[in-house]
Amino acid sequence: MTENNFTENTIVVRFSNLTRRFGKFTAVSSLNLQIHEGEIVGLLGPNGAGKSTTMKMMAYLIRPTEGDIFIRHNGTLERLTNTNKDYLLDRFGFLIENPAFYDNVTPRQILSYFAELRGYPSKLTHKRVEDVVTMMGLSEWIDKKISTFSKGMRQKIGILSTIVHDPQIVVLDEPSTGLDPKAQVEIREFLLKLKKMGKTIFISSHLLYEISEVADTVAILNHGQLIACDTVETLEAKAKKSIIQLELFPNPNGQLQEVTTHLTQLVSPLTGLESQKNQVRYNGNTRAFEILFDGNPEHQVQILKTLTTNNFNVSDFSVPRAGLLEDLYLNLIQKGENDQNE
Amino acid sequence: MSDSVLEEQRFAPLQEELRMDLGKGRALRQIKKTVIFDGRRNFKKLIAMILINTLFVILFLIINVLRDQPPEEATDYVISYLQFFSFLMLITAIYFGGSIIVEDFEKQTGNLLFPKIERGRLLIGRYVARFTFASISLTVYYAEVALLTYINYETVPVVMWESLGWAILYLHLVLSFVTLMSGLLNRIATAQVASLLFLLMVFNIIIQILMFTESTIEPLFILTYYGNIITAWFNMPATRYEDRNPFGPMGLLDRTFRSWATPSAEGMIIGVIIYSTILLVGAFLIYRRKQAKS
Ligand SMILES: Nc1ncnc2c1ncn2[C@@H]1O[C@H](COP(=O)(O)OP(=O)(O)O)[C@@H](O)[C@H]1O
Ligand SMILES: [Mg+2]
Repeated sequence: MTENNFTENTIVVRFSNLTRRFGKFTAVSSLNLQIHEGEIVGLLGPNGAGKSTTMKMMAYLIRPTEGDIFIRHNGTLERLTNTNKDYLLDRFGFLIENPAFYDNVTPRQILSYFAELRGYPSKLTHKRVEDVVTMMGLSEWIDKKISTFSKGMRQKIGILSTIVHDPQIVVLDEPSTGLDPKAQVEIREFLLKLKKMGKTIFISSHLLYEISEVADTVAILNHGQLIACDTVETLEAKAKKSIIQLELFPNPNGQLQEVTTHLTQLVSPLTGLESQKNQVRYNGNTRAFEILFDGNPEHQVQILKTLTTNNFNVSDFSVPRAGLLEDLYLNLIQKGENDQNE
Repeated sequence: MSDSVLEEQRFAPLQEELRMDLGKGRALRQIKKTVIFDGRRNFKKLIAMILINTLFVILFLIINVLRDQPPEEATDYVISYLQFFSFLMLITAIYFGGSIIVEDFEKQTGNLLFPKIERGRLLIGRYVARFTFASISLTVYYAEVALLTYINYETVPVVMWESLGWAILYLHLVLSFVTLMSGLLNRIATAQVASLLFLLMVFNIIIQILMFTESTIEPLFILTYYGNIITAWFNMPATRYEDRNPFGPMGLLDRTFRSWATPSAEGMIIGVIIYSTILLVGAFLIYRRKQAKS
């Protein structure tokens, strides 16, 4: 879908030197970022990175301390101000942080209200609300009180409330944080549907996979600063490091600590990396060890040889692609930490 | 036809020209929608408040039945039902108004709403909805009392409806005050408790202090002072104030304390309009600047 035929004319939102301070603390620092029509941009960063603050400025919930936000309207990029926000934001839908929902109303009531506040024609609202609720698979619940809904269902209604007035640009702040895996997948599928309809999506998360699964462009934010912004592919290519995924048989459940230390001693001199820290770690989710190395196949072979000569029963030894980006993310953030401390 | 084709047809994008007017027309429309939505949301509260009011009416009915001699005049009978009324009004205003601003921050619903509607419009819409509901519940109280009066005296004093008029005007003042408190505080519960404390105690304490400084100015800045007119109206012209010299007879001190009883009708109208406007503008300014604590 993204053939990168983006030009100046396809920009729908531009942050220009966007800065927000709370007292002396800088939550967002000189952010420059562009969002193009029809693109999914992921804003990735750890907790406290400034993601919500950025989105709140976009929604005009808070004012920037410095810098501007430009939004396309009738062909030109207009600076977002108090006087034009009413119509500029018609084309936006926002779900920021975790707003609680009005318990005592039904999805139909609240979604109709939100649609009409943003100028959706009254005559068409009824049908529109039913359509989006159906699209989310909640049509049986449309007239039930929200107080009876699960967390995931509430979040889905939250997402519907951002799109019910048919905006061009959808802004979602950590939409699936805290939800069960099934709901997370459903929300991700929903986002891809929106993308198919040509919507522009700006989504934030502190979890890489939530972003990398859907986004065309990833912007990584740390301590309020943009530390990387590129397509997922380019970022992966930029990652100089790679990860070896290593499974042992039988899995040394009882002695992970010892095995990790042992592996580190054996493997560290062979990875081609300068830093000797944390080069081997155990990933509890995949039940595999992860060895960082410089991506050089020769080193990869040496590591495998060393492991077999040292009587490790290697049942899997691979370099998965997704790991690269994860590591880049951690790496960039860690680098940020070091820069901060200096 | 495949599902995706169906879906595409169903979700043909809205033609932007169809979007409803910007500017003034939109503001009114948004306010109207807010009144309806907020009304729906608070409808249960209205029912609850009417039930509470009815309980009070029944309580006074029992007291009246148990009394040996019922009042001779219908007006006195009505008044007997209004003894707790100003307290009931405070409760009503606090019950409907306590959450009006603070709920958006306590529950972060503001993050959903504020990008969609200007806070001023939201506040107006909510205020109208809640003021209407509170007025309805007070009117129901009066209507129940009127019914009982009619059963017992076969007449309903007209002055009672004038009193209801004052009550509704006073309600506007109290609700404005509660709205301001809802802007100042960070939780619904604290806004409600603080409002109650102020209305029941703080204002009274100030009145006492003023009296003992031998001040003779009419305390038009004391919010609860305006509530007195609701019952005083039955016996017009009412005593505006009373000068007392409690220590005089003992010859201890030669001091007079002026205790204000009722505002004049003009003072009431002008005072309430100015006072509530100040409170509401203050509440709006706070609301506009207020941010959710993260
Ligand atoms: N209203 C506020 N007052 C003071 N500090 C704030 C406020 N809002 C956010 N911050 C601070 O700004 C930083 C960024 O916050 P936020 O944008 O919410 O991060 P994220 O959404 O990426 O987790 C945090 O350190 C947070 O404590
Ligand atoms: Mg956040």
